[in-house]
Amino acid sequence: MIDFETIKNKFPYTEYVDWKIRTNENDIVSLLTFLKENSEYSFDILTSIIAVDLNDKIELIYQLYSTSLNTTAQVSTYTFNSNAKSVINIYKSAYFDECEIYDLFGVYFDGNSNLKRLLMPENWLGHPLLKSYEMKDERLVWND
Amino acid sequence: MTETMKINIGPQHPSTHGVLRLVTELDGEDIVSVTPVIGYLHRGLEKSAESRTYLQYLPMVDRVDYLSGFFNSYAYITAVENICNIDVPKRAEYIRVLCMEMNRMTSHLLWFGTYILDLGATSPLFYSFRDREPLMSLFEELTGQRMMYNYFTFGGVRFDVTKEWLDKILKYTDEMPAKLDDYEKIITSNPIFLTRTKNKGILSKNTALKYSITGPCLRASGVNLDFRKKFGYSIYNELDFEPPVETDGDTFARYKVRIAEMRMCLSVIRQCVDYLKNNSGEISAKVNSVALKVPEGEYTTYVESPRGLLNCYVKSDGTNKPYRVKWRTGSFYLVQMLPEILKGHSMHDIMAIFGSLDVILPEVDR
Repeated sequence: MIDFETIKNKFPYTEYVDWKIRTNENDIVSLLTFLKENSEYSFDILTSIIAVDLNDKIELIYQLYSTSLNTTAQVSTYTFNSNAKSVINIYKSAYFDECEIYDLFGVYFDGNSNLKRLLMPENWLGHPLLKSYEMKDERLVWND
Repeated sequence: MTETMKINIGPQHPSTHGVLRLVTELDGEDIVSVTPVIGYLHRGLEKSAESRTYLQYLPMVDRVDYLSGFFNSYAYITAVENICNIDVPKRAEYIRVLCMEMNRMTSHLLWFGTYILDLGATSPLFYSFRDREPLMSLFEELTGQRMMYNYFTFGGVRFDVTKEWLDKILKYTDEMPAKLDDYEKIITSNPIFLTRTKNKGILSKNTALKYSITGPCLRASGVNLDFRKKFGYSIYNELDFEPPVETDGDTFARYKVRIAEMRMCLSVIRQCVDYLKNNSGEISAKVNSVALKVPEGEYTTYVESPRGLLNCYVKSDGTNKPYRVKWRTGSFYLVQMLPEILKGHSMHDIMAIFGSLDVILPEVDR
């Protein structure tokens, strides 16, 4: 278990909900930098970024792992307008994650200049993992 | 620098073990840059989950990575079990771990055969497939399938193991170390193999961590990170094993880690068989899988698969269908790291290095 009090003092807007550290969109870069650089935490691996479509907003969950502490942390943030801050300058592995989320959820990552479709074809319309995605696409073979 | 040339490798290429396209820029024979293009095997596994019940989705998860189906089932099932607060009987956990370790063995054996084949040696493939076959038959005997097992179920496993079946495994674990010695006699000190693998594709500790590399590839770079040991999930904390670690980080180190891991697998398998022979018990918590009530909640499982960390994130909104399922697989990040590790090498090293990472494309594209 990580010590949340220190984080709370430094980032007053964060809350600890369930098992996630919840922060706002603007703090995400500085919070992740803090969690990585601070020797007390040193979360050196970003195992993945999970996006969840909650209809009115998209939740982004950053899953961190610290090899020295052998513990995980989940940092969560909401985006209401499909725009988020890129974290590729902190964790290089985030590039593919961000491309995947752009591809499947249509979230733009500010600071990631090379966003591209990763899994779907380049000329695909729409973002399939959104709840509002129309499943009656004629290109989807299982519809007949 | 002379004018560079762009050549396209794949998507249909025998050494990519799936469909991966590498857009390669060459200066003579030297690699200037590599751009991996993925998505050819995208089957929408995450989207499919949202229109199926928890039970209907279960047979599909084996297909995330067809070579290690048990790991995928385990990751998905434990996530759901944790949301539902289902306690799994100890015997079932032991059977699960036994199946997973046998699965790791078959996965590594297939990697061994095909990797040496990539390097141009044909015969080791037949040895490794010969030794993989008994395990596949054992899987067939237990689950009815050689691959895509669909054997784990919410709360436990479908069928109990028999004494005869366990005896066959013991026989296998007794014979296998000598065969692994044979492999090593042919390969490990072979001068051609050494020239092609030593000091090739060096993955430093920092690069590996930066790119979120896990599993055998990270352990070959000198980081002792094995989630079986670190988290001790399931019953791994009751077992006695020590994950092998190498420090060189080159292609040869990754080979050595996997060979050593196969020996470790055999010891873990033997410990599981010992327990199962001497203890009886339930193999499944009484759960109605068809009318499974999953309360609201979310959970992420951490599983050490043969290709690194496997995460399955399940979010439930209280209905009978998952709200969101997300797979995090080791190969996805290995493909991302490819340009870094290939830079500066020769054209003919591409497959030697790529093969040593043991990337499986279905789990990249999902």
